[in-house]
Amino acid sequence: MNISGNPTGQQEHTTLSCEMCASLLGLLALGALPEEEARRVKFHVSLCEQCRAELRRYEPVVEVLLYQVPLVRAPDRVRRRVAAIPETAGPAQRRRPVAPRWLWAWAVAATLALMIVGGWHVALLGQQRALRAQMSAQQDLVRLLLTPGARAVTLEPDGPAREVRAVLYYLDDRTGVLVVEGLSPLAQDQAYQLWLIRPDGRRDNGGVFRVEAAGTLTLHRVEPPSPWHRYAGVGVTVEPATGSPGPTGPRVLHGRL
Amino acid sequence: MSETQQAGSSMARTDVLDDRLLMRRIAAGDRAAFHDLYERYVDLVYSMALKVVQDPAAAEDIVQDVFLRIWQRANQFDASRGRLATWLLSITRNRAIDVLRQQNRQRIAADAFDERRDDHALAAHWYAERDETVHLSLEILPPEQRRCIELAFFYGLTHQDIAAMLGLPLGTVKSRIRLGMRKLQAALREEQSKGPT
Repeated sequence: MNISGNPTGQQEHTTLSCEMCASLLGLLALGALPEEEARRVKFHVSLCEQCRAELRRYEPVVEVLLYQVPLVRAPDRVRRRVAAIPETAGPAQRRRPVAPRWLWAWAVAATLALMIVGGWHVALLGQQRALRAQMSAQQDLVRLLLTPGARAVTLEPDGPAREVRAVLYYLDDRTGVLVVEGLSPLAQDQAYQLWLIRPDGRRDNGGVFRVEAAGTLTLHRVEPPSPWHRYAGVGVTVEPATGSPGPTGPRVLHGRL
Repeated sequence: MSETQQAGSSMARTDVLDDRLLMRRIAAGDRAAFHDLYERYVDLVYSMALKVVQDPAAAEDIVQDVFLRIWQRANQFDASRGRLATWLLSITRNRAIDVLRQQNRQRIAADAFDERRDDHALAAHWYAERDETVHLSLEILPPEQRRCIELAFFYGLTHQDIAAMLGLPLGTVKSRIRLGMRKLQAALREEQSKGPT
């Protein structure tokens, strides 16, 4: 599968054939590719199941390499330092700070006040927010692509085959990024909503996003309520513009983590 | 008792189910569980850190960082994704390479890497004897392939760095790594098809 770039062929994700990619997968698994080259290969892998499967076959080799270290006894000084960690480091678990209710109430009141000031102000702010959100998501995506170990999951479209491509990038306890191309824009009172599915079937909200125009590439930042490894799958459904507590509309995309 | 035997004896009681339980208890703030865990794995973590940074003082700091992370985020370990020892070695290696990069010492550490096989047994041999799992040695590779793979894996060097360091064409380095990785892959598949001995 070739991934075409722009007509000048100068973009970072220009044509990388499976044959070319396959010759670089061992180096990628080892971490021996420079950033730019690694990014190109990872992008191809995120969209090519064959290469993704081939990359996974290198995982046992990488595990073997980890154990190729001469085993030496850690000095007593090291053992004492490690033993002291529970006393010096504080509690074992850290909770994320939760904003107090009064802060949420203030935020809601401030937003209402902004909307009252002028309709065109709100429209302008909305556009700026959307742009900032996209830029922020782009930065997150680049960071993920540069980070060893970042995972990529291809989502499959539901219903009749369509020209929809979607990949979810994520890593451990960090923000993820959903990249979608080919979804149709929805009515003003609707939005797409991402669901993070636990093994027992419960759904966590992964946020709502909109597609501004047909054929555009949309990036959606995902801040999972729990670490990624607690989820078994993801899905995208059509929901009211402000989102739903649970899936109510038709599913358009799904994938396994 | 040799130093390797001393180091390995802490791993003799390794048990996958115990590891899972220990991590759950650590996530709940159990200090005794944390003590058991570091006694079991501190040598392994230190060995990896020392291998990468080639500096005992820096290796000590890395060991401290790794176990601090375990204490603070034990809930991040997912037993379904593999054994704890592998996870520890992986985060230790990544942390150690980050340290080398921050200090621009990757080439220095790689230069200090001694190809002579010293008296210390590899962690692979020690672990495999107790776990009855398939293990493999880099000894099956020709020296030139092994060196390129070790330079990339343990010191975070890219194929360009390795080519510059060894005075080789880039294509040669890429080829050696590619062939070496495929040979390891094939050997591992063959060992796995035989089953544990």
